[in-house]
Amino acid sequence: MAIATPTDEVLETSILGRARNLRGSPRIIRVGSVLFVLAMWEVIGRANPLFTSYPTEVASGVLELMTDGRLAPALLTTLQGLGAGYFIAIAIGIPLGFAMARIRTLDIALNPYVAALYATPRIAIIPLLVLWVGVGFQLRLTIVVLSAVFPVIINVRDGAKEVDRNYMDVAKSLAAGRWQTLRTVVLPGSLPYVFVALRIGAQRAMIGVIVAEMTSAIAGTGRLLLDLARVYQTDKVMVIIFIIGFFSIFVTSTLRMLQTKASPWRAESRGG
Amino acid sequence: MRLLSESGPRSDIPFLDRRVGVWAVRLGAAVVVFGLWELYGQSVNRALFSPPSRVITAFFEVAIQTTVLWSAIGDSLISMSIGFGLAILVGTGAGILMGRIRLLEYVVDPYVSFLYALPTVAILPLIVIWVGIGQPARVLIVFIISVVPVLLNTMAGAKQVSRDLVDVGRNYGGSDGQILRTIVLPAILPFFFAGLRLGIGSALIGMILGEMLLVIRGLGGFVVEYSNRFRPDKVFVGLLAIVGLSLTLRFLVQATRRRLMPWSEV
Repeated sequence: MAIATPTDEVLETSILGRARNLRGSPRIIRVGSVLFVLAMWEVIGRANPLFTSYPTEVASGVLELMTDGRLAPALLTTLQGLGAGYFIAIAIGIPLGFAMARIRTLDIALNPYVAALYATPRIAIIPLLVLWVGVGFQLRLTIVVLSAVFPVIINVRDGAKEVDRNYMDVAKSLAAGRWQTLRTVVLPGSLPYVFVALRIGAQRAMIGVIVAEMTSAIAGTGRLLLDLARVYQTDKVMVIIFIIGFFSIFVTSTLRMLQTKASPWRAESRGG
Repeated sequence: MRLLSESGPRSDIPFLDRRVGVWAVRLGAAVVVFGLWELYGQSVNRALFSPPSRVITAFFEVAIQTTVLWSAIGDSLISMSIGFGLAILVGTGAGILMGRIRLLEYVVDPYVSFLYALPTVAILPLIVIWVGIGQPARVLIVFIISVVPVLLNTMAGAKQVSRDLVDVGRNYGGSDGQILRTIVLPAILPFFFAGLRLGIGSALIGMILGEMLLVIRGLGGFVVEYSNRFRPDKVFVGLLAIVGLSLTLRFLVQATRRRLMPWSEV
């Protein structure tokens, strides 16, 4: 490849590759930077606590949130919809992605719809979903499925299509059947892309569920976030933003760890 | 797709690799999709769902007889362009600086990594605290959500610029400005455009989110209001307009990319 033409996947790995290099970067600068920003935040935040609150206040906000009994139910409600919806999205998206990569008729027929929906912010359908399924668990479930399934389909499909032609030819010349080729060449070869699909799907799923809860659901983390903002509890808003951020980091790094475990021969993913 | 443009003996090319084959399958799929949609839509409560025929009638009402749809699109586009335009300026500038200056990268990195992982929509409540729920909030949410992918991709691009090329530039006595303009910027372009592609998706999410929660206007407001009035036919018109807008904006990014990077194949 003479000129780098990054796809979403390459970008993903290059950004993550950067994150990996970070461990080699001077820890003292990073720690110093974090301490400096925390100190600045404390000083500026105290001057105008409404705006961004400040670290010590945020820390006590954690305790208050834990004790007033609103946080745990909200997180649990969100996680239920997120987990169930993500599972359904994977169960539909991965097989369909492989099918589209291997069966041309299906690909030609479905690709325009999948690509158009992938390119469109699915959160716009939330008001209509409310009419159809109400504002409870089913709303979360539906929006998570809709948010995650299209990135999963597209990335799995692209990955399965990218599988090295040479390996495919070897399989063919050794008279491997369609199913055998799929199992021994296509599946392992596209595994890294499947994990990229899972990561992007997880990120979209989180966006979907938070937006759904902010706009219409009567419970959940997004709702709590917005309710706290409406009464200017900035410290607690910050706490929840951090929880969401760290949860997202946890999910992404778990998926990356599983990826390395599942395809150790490609421990260093390409790109970057 | 490459096979489609190759000319050869027609009988040698499999049916599905010929233009007519592809369009036959697409047409068949469209008939099935829209046919089922129509059949199902006729059978359910018209306050909840609409078949394509009623969506077309609704389109005439909001787009031909009146200009409701067009003013919603215009309204959305204005605030999105401001927010995304700012995101491109700030994201590209900061991205190049962070990619080229090691110390800056180390200092800012923890926050950028956090922002990359965070579903940025979660920041919306903070914006409500900062600037309320007016027009500025609507622009700010677009900016904050879309600046992250632009910045990160530009930075990834600025970091991978070949040292050799920069050294060659220096050996020939190129100034910092010259090296930036003739070596670094062209090398960053592919990453910049990838950032734009991801950024436009984020900007659209920010736009819709802002219009559903902060200022009930534009396309997001259009969808919300007609949902509240149980007019799914008009909601579908709004949703299809959002699909069309997304595809158009993405097409524009690709077209600009092809113009600025004639050497790229994609």
